[in-house]
Amino acid sequence: MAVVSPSASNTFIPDHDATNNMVIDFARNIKKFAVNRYAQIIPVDKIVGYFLKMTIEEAGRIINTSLDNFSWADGHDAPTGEDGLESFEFDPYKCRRYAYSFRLGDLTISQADWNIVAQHASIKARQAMTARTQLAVTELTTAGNYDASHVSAVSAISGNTGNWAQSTTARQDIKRSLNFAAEAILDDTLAAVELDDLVVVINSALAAELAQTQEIVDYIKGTPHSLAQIRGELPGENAMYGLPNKLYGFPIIVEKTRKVTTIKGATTARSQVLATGTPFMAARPGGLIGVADAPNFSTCVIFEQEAMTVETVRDADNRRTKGRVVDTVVAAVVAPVSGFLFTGAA
Amino acid sequence: MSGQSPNYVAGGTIRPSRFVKIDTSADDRVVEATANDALAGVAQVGTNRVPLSDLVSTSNAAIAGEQLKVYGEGDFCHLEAGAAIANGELLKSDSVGRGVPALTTGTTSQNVGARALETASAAGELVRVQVVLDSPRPTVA
Repeated sequence: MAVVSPSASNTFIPDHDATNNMVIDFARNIKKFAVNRYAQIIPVDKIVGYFLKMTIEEAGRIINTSLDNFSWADGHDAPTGEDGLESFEFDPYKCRRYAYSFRLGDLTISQADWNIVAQHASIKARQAMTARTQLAVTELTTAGNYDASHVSAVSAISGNTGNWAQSTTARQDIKRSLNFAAEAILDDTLAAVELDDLVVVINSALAAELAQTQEIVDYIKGTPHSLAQIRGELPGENAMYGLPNKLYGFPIIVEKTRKVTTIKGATTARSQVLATGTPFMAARPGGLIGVADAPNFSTCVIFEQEAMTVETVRDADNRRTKGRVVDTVVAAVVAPVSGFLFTGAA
Repeated sequence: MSGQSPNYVAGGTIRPSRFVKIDTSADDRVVEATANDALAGVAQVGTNRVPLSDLVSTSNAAIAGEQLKVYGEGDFCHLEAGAAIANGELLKSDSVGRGVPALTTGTTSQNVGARALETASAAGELVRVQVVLDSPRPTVA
């Protein structure tokens, strides 16, 4: 390069300090991942084990409205109860250990203008949460994990005309679908699941489509939220989609987690972890952390032997730092009759 | 008042809630009944193995050499139906120890093992019965 004359912008070497080491990144708070709102975590000590699954019949078995089969006449032998037992089965779980790792040389770390180790630990934590989301969504959208009567194409539900995106005020297909699913859950759990325990999980594309349907627009019109809708100030976390937090009484969870499905260097392909066409209804009672030795009817649980341990170790001999987030988990649909999988929703 | 059933050991594989008969090859043993066998009672409803869904694929009440509870004369228990059964019908064993209605006509003596206290609409259902051990001869048609 030829020699030049000085000016205001060429008399120094530009560097990162100029912006106070500002880092442009999209660090999603791992507590904001929706998976914790529709899957319950069950801490376990062993990576392999069993959980006890009871059939749900005996508690509600009333064969005759007269209750004659329970009657006990004075002086007679009491009914033996040999026929009054509930069935059970032990189902297995098997956690798998996952390591989301990175390795940085000492020179890279010392020369970097920002805290590159902490940043990568954060990136890997988010990768782990995205992976957990994938684990739960895969289980919850696998039709074979549900009872046959708890999976249905939206258009195949009796009374429906098309998918949710096509629903109108007259069709009411969204409302009918949600009520149909809730009824199936109440039937097969003997109403043990309260409606308050149920959540509907949709992805953000479907949320946007629903918000534009005539059925939902009219629904919101008839609620106290209509003004807030116009102002874009709907209360709750679904405001950016124009949806209320609850729809027909069911909490709506928008699963917006995205994943990158291509290798480095290839044209980046991104997609939603939850597909648009397969929303689901799930029971998610209780707090985030469940109890291992108590009855549980959360549709999906994450058995967690090790909970996202963040480790950084300096390898002095090779002058480098190894970091990783270790997660030993498995997701499982443990109470398939407390959930409902929709297909062909959009 | 229920009768007292002897203690038995299985002489072979016996499935839950099936008719059993005396094992003539060894004392104090029973085996699963076959069609119209003379019966000793009904096998227990519980299984002999922990129902681990990934490891245990068959549900037996007992296999050869294991103890099992046998419901005897007068006891109330569940019996697996081998066909549709009407409440009150006398039941005999089918070819795999399940209960089917005893014939009420014909020339063959019917080895009855229970009386149905409920109605079953199809094979595989568990019907509540009272054990009744008898060998009535049906009316000749």
